[in-house]
Amino acid sequence: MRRFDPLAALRPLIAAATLAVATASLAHAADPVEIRFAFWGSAFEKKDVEKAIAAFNAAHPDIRVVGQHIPNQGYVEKITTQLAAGDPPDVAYLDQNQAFPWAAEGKILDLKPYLGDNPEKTFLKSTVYRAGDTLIGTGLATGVILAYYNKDLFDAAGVPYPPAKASEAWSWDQFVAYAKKLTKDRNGKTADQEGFDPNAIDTYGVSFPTWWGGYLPFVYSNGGKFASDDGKQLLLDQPEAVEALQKLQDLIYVHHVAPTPTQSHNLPTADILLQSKKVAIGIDGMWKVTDFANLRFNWGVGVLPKLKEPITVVVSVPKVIFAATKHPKEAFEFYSYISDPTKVDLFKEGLWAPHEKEYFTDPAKISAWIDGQPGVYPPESRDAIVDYELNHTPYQPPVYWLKNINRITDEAVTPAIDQIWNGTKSAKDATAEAVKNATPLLQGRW
Amino acid sequence: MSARLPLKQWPASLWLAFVLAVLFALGMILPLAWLVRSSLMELGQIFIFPPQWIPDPFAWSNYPDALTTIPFLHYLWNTLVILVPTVIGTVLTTTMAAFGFSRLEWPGRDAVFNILLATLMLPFVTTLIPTFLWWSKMGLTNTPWPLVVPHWFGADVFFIFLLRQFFRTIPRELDDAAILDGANPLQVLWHVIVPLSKPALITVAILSGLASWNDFLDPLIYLQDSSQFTLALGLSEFTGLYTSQWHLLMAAATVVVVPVLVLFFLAQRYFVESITLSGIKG
Amino acid sequence: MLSAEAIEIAAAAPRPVAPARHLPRHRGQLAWAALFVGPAVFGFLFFKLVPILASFVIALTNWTVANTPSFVGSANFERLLADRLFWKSLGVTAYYAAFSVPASMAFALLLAMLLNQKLPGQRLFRTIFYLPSVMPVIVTSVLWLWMFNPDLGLLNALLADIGLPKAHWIYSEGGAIPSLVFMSIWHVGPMMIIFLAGLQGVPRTLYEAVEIDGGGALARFRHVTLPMLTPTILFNLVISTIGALQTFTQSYVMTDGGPNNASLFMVFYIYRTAFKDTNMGYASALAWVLFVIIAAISFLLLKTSNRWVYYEGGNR
Repeated sequence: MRRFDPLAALRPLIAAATLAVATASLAHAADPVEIRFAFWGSAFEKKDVEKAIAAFNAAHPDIRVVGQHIPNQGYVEKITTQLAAGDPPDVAYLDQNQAFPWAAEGKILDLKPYLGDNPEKTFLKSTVYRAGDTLIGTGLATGVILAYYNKDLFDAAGVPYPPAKASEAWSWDQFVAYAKKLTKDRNGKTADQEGFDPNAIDTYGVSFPTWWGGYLPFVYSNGGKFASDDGKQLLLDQPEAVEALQKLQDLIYVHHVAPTPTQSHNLPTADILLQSKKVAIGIDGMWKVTDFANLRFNWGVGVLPKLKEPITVVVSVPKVIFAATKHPKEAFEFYSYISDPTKVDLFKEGLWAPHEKEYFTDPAKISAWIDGQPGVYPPESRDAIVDYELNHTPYQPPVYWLKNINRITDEAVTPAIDQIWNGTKSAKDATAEAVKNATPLLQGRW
Repeated sequence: MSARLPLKQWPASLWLAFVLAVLFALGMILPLAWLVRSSLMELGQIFIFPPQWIPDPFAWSNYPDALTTIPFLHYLWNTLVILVPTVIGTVLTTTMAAFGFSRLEWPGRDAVFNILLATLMLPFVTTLIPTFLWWSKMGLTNTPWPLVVPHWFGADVFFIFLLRQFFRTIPRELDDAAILDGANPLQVLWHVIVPLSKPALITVAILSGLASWNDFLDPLIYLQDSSQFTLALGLSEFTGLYTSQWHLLMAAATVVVVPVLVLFFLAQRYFVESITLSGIKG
Repeated sequence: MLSAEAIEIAAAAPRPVAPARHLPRHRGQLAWAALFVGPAVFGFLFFKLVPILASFVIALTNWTVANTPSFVGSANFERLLADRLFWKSLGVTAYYAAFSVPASMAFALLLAMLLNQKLPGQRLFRTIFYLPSVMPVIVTSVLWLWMFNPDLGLLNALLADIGLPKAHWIYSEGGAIPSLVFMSIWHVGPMMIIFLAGLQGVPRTLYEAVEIDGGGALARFRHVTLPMLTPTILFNLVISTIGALQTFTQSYVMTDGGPNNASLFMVFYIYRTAFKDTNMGYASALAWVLFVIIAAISFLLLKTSNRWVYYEGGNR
């Protein structure tokens, strides 16, 4: 009986296949260098980043960037396990809580060979990160803290819109007076009228976030500081800082113009509060422009009220190249690319602001992101976003230079700030406790 | 179950039970009602206060939008590829183990069980990285294997404990009768214990299926990239660091939740079914 | 719980013929045992033992994932004894567990008993009660955050309707844990179906015996349901205690441990130390201390359980 021998039948096929593979591999003399890039973000951010990655790969045939999208909620666990297993990505977003300590241990590539010794010339001061001798690099995007407002509520109350020019920023007293006019109870009485019921408020004048983005601009504005420049002292108990925090607390409990602050990036966020007319002014980051642009109501942006000087802060997240990378040159090429406002759509969509100074000074470059997509950035953005970020952000927030900032925040500052927001302690007492708890944790600066 | 009593014959206790059940049900159904109504609303309407219960307008587009924003069917497939072997392995090995820890006598039995039980008491945080490193030494990270294989080796001590407790409520005399007939332990398990434990076994299947369906951290750590993601990970793609698409998240979550509920509803039959065996139960 | 009447009733139920003497057990039960528990034991030894031992070794080092670890002996353990946040989180966790375990067990049992009645729409009710536990955490936490919101939330709206003042729920120091206990009652689905399965296993003949003796619903509960349910009660008690002492998600997703550390659960503190501060060594030490505490409580519960748990299959 003749048996069917599959191997015999396949033999010619196998030979042909081997020949084909051999020829193909010969033709493919230089394989592209593979760079792994880890990033977070919602699905819509992911889409834009992946589009940018694809464009980069098309423009650089010798480099192949593989994007690894990791949900924001588990990002740190995943990156940490990858690092522990000796397999970190090449380029990655990295929260400052990990970026600085890991850089100090040599796990992050020093970018001085690529960015030079003085990147502060090119980039906004707040967005250059160093840990000791290591230049970690810059952030992936920036955003200032500013004020969003609901135009209809302002029109109804007869209150002028918050100014977009920092030189015209409201004084604190002006701000409180306006906020009172904008705060209404269920019976229609405003906070500056007789018979106003603080227990039945329908619309609040202003809301602000609970994290440092909510109070740090005002501490700076009043001439106060978070910590001393050498990082050895917490200065929140100094009179200027205390005054700023006390004024914020008074907004809630004395003037009744602000609701109880709740978790910041959960909900409800400024866009939702403003659209539902629960709040007239929402203090939040510039990155919410993209959310506002998707809601259909009349909104605008303005600068924060000032206590002494009109000051705000720049928030950003570091992006790093891990030292374990086998292709630093290519990694750096992508590193620069992913923050290029002309290459990634998220800048013109109102989620990211650039960190190169030229994008805040050169009119053509400003136009590239502010006017990149019509209907996103409101007309006053050149003042309230561009000028505000360039000229009124003198201090880099301590999370980017103070050692042990996460423990200082979690164990000393945040519990105290919680008590200020909840009205259980005065700013003076709470900050005194914060400084007491922070003292053993201070370790200087990176 | 025997026929229900007609309304007129209900004793007071049954009325009380019914009223309470309805009250609690109204409270419990709130999450689902809120989820479904939010899934049909535009983003701006979801959180307005006082809450609106009827969307206006009905944002039916949330569903196709949500299901195309993430590769929904692909994630569903990834989820099932992990879930089905997990549940099968769990039911098999935990049943066997529970039998071994309750119906057999051997030296050190209770001590070994207590050691296994102790593994539930060590917080996951501290073993997360060592476990990952261990799997990476085996070269199996960036694959779904670490998510499935342990369940074929009795990883779920929770269920071993559960089934052990159930098995201990079954009278020994039933085992003895079978042994008298010449049955070995496997046959005792299959012919005596299993038929009497259907509610417990269904419970194990349901709970382990649900755990796998909603598992977030382990798939995140062990799967290579978003092409391998499960639905639970996919849902998290609707929330970014500062911004979230709540309306799409709600729609996607509804699609994730509803089939589970339907299956759960259908699985109820096995809870209710009475097993008659020697007139003991049922 | 182990009432004399219950034993009598159970013993009086009809049984198959069983000789009075002990039946010979199978020879070589050890071999059979190896077959049955082998996979689980192997799984423990192969998949779990090494990581567990490693985590203990890590607790003796100063590993931060980025550095090269070096031994620090018992330094981490000494540190935690003096760590005010360790004691605070222990207190928070114990406070939460002390209330949520009995509250959720009682509610789960109540629901299970309700659903064990011949109510119309029984399947629908069971599905609805199980519902909150089926929903993904991301959705339920958003829902609860919204419900708890002091100014926009549903709960305060209800309070206002009754004329009560606003509560600050999880946003206040005093209200954080009570609010979370309240929330935990919503999620009794799994415990409820475990109780249901247990209730299904109660022989109807026992209920009939009580009825014949003239007992009503309460008597049936006291003399039949409760004793026969004790194995399930023990399971739920131990498991929910182990779970409550390891509560994590609520603080991770909703409160960040605040306000002012009012919801700083132990596992959340451990997690924050491990991943935010990347101090793996100290985090492992904290975890092992928690482990010892949980193990002590659990094994105490199990050891004393013989006094009140009735196994129809005998206490072997």
